[in-house]
Order: sequence, then structure tokens, then C-alpha cells
Amino acid sequence: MKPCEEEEEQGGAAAAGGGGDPWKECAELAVQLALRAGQIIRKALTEEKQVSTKTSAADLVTETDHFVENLIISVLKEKFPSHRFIAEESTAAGSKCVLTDSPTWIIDPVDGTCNFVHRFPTVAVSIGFAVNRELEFGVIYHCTEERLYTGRRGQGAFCNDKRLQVSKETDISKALILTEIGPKRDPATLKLFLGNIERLLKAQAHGVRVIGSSTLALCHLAAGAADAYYQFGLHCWDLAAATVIIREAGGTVIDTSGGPLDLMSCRVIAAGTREMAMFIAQEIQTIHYRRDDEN
Amino acid sequence: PITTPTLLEEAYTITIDVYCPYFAPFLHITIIKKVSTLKPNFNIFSITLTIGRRRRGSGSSPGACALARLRLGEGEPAAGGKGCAVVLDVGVLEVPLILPGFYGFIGEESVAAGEGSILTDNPTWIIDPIDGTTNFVHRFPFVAVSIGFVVNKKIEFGIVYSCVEDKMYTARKGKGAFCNGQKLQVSGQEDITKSLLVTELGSNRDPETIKIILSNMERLLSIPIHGIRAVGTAAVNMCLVATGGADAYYEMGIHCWDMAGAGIIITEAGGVLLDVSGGPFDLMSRRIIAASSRAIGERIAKALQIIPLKRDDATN
Repeated sequence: MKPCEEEEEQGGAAAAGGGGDPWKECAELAVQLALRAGQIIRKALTEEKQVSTKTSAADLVTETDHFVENLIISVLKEKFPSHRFIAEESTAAGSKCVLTDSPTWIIDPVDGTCNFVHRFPTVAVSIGFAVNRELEFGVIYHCTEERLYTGRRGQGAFCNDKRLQVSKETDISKALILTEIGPKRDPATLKLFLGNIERLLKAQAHGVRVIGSSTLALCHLAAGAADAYYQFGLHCWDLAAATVIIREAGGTVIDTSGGPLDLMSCRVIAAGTREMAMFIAQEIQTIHYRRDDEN
Repeated sequence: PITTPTLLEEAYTITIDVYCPYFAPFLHITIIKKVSTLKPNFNIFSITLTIGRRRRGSGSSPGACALARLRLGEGEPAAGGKGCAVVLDVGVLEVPLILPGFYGFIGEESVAAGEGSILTDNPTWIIDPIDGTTNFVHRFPFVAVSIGFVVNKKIEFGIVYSCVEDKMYTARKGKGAFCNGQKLQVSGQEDITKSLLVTELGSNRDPETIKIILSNMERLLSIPIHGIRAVGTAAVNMCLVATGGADAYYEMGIHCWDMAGAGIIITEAGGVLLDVSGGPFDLMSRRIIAASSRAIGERIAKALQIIPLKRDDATN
């Protein structure tokens, strides 16, 4: 299955030359780590948790987030000492969030921490990988349902070995849309957030759903179970793996302005079709968040 | 208390054709009450509910069965296997049925489409064969069968089967609530600022209604709370509260058949049901707060502006 058209400029000749997949070993290790992390998270879900807040009262973190991230990074660092890492908790601790040409792992150890804290079952591990600033593969593991989503550039996207295909819906009045609230909860942000939902409902969308994990919502999109996703306030570690999976399933991932995806911009629109994505880009109003690569 | 069930002399079949408004396929529901062993303690694990799907004229679409997985208790799946059977046996005669009226007609009962459903003291089944129809149409994996059984206007038992997740939630008055055999307990959260709430935007697209729904969400998010979730089915939303995974559910605009199954699952898990005004819960009122504690429920009631709605038992 070919990736989407707008990927052509970035595609380049990376896969030229046939032969083996240079990142196959990395992708396989990513799967192993995701499964292992998922097991740890599944177990921790039932236990007592120490919870702290980050940027707002709704932006939560636990020791499981830290533990899982350290585990993944330490295994990868040992195997691939020249590789770089962008990960949620390391960034919170002060690491820079800059994508260079080096092979870079982009990790969200627990996507849906608020769900995790509450034992709301929608929780995932997300591991993305980029080389020369191009997303190469992604692994997202739904920890409680034990569903493994994978995407490898040029090789399709899968959920537990079942090939993924996005919805072909172009009409907003037949669309099921997913979104997330994001961490900011000040009055101006809430007004914009709810105003965007109002616009989409006025356009007669079938419905809007919020499941509490952006990576898993994006996977539902890749599976064709929803027609569009949009959000302000997510991060590069939520987007890296899911973008590959959606594009390999035939979908479109762009910036909320309608332009090309900007991985560090903390905003996204993803849809089964370009028409759907562009309609939403025109409808929604921007909620400003600091970029991931800003200091 | 329920009277001892009488043995049926003959089995009979109620067939309901459910028209799914978004596109062509019919959802075909057959409810078969079988003559079976007498179960004096009213063990509910014996109702037959078959969900199939067929396109008008051209046979079943592939994957039509995928959303209604399986089966509980003894019994055979329906012949012709387009659907999957939840098999339960009931030894009760002649109970009235309340089903989504606008979906269509009921073959052998006399609840006409569009008329109010009057809840009497008689034993009454209140069934939503597919809660989460929009999800069903989109293959968004939260779709449930909801069955509530009400006597003297009180819910005696409830079943919610979340088909894709294969989670069977059940509760019997006084006997606790369970999901796939695991006992359920609500979170008990009393602090609204640490709460995760579940609700829906609903199917009403009237601009004034949308404004009220969104302003209610705004008020709650501003308290602040941890977050809001919306998976697209009232029954599953309520079951998530019963598991402790969320702290409360509220909605205005749903129907008695969305609440009857899950309502008792919540209370048997230690939760409370309230009206959105903070007063006592009313199954026919089209509205509900289902909370892990009275404190959370009452705090939510304070934040809600009420949407005027026609009751399920309103006639005309």
C-alpha cells in the first residue's frame, strides 16, 4: 500500500535499492519493548498510584510513566548507542526536543496517563522512529485490549496482523470525529475547544468521541472506525508512531492550518481522506500551545 | 419480590425489524422465549437475543456478525447464523416489552411506534438491542446490548453486553454487579476536582440544545475536573463508572431502554442514581446522573442546566 501523496517529497529514495529493510531490527525491538511495557502497565493499572501534576491540574504523571520510559530508553541505548531519544518524561525533565538527522526514537511511555490513574482502560505505549527527519515506523500497543498497531513506511499498517485501511468518507455530515481536550483548561481555551465541537456538530457530523488517548484515537482512525481526528495540545511523541500507521493505512495527516504536518507544532488533523481533513482545517479555530522544540 | 415463574405451555417468538436510519441494512432482532427448566430463583442466564444484519435484497454483508460476539449461558445460536446469540432462558409469561419505539413495529406485542411507553407495576422487559447505533454504523468498537427487567417500577436485574470488547456486565438486585465474573466496585470518589466524568453530546442537533450541552461541559471542566470521556453509548459509559474506571456519568436525552440495564449495575457496584436536578432518579425522565458517590452526583447536578425533554411515558 502506497503512503499518501503528500509524503512523496519526503519519501525520497530511502527504500530504493531493494534488499533488506535497514530498520527491521529496530522495528522488531520496538514491538518487543512495547509488549513488555504494556505488561508492566497492565499490572500497574490495578495497583495504587502516586500521582503528580505537570503543566496543569489535568496534566498527570506517575512513577509508571518514568519507569517504563527509563526501561525502553535503557534497552535501546545499549543496543544502539549512537541513536537519539525524544521522550515525554525526559523532555519534562529538561531534555531538548529537537529532531536531527540521526536515527531518533520518539517515545510516549504511557499515553492516557489520566485514564491510567483512573483505571479507565484506554491506555497505550507509543514508540516512533525517525531517520533524516523522516518517520520510518511506529508501534502503538493498547495495553488492556492487547492490540498491537504497527506501521512501516512503504509496508502498510497492521493491527494484530490485520491490515488497516482508513475510511473513505469525504462528507462531514456522515463523519464520526475523535478529539481530545488537551492539558490547558483556562476559560479561553475551553471556549475555543467547545466552540470547535459546536461547529462540527452544526455541520451535522454524526458524532464526536473522546477516549482519553490520542495515540489510540489515531489508531481507530487508521482502522477505519472513525473518519477524522483533530487536536491541539498533543506532542511529537503522540504523533510520531500514529502518523506512520495512518499514512500506511491510506490516510492523511496534516497541520491544523491545512498545511503539511509539523511534528513539533503540538497540533494535528488526521482523516481518512484529504477532503475531510481540509474541511475540518477550515472549520476549527486554533488553540495556541508552545511548540515541543521551543524553549 | 418476583412471583415464582410459571412454566410456559408453548414457546413464542417476537420478531422486531429495526431500521438503521443511517444506511440500508436492517438490524434483525428475534427474541425467542423458550420453554425450559423452571428456575425459581430467577437466574437470568437464559434469554435468547439474536442480532443479525442483512442488506435489503442482497444477503448479509461480511463482518456483520463481528460486532455481536457471544453468548452467555446455555442454548444454541440462531439457525442461519448471520447473527450471534446471547442465550438466556426465561420462564415468565406475557411480560410487556418496551423497545425503542421509533425503530419499528413489534410483531406480536402492541407497542406502536411513536407512542409513549407506559411503565406499569407489571414485570417489564426494557431492551435496547443496539446501544451505540452511530458507533455500530462506523465500526467504532463500543456497541452494547442492554436488557433491564423491571417489576413494580424497580429494576430487578440488568445485563449490558459490550459486544466488541466481549464484556458481559450483569447485576441482580441484592447480589452485586459483575463483569465477566469479576465483581465490580465504583471508585467511591467524593472529590469532584479529582474526577473523570463520562457523558455524550447526544443526537440532537438543535442549536439551543447543543449550546446547553456544551455550556454544561464548560462549567464542569472549569471546576476543574480531571477530564471528560465520551465513548458513544450510554450503557457502556455507565458500566465504566460501575467498574470504577470513571467517577460519574450524566446525560439528558437518553431513553429508559438506555438506562434500565446499566442502572442496576451501577447501584449494585455501590454507586448512586440521581436525577439531573439532584432529586430522585426517574427511569422515564430521559435524564440521569450515575455516580460513584452522592457527593459527586450532587456536585454535578449543581453545574447542570436542564434541557426540557418529552418523557418516555408522555402520551401524544
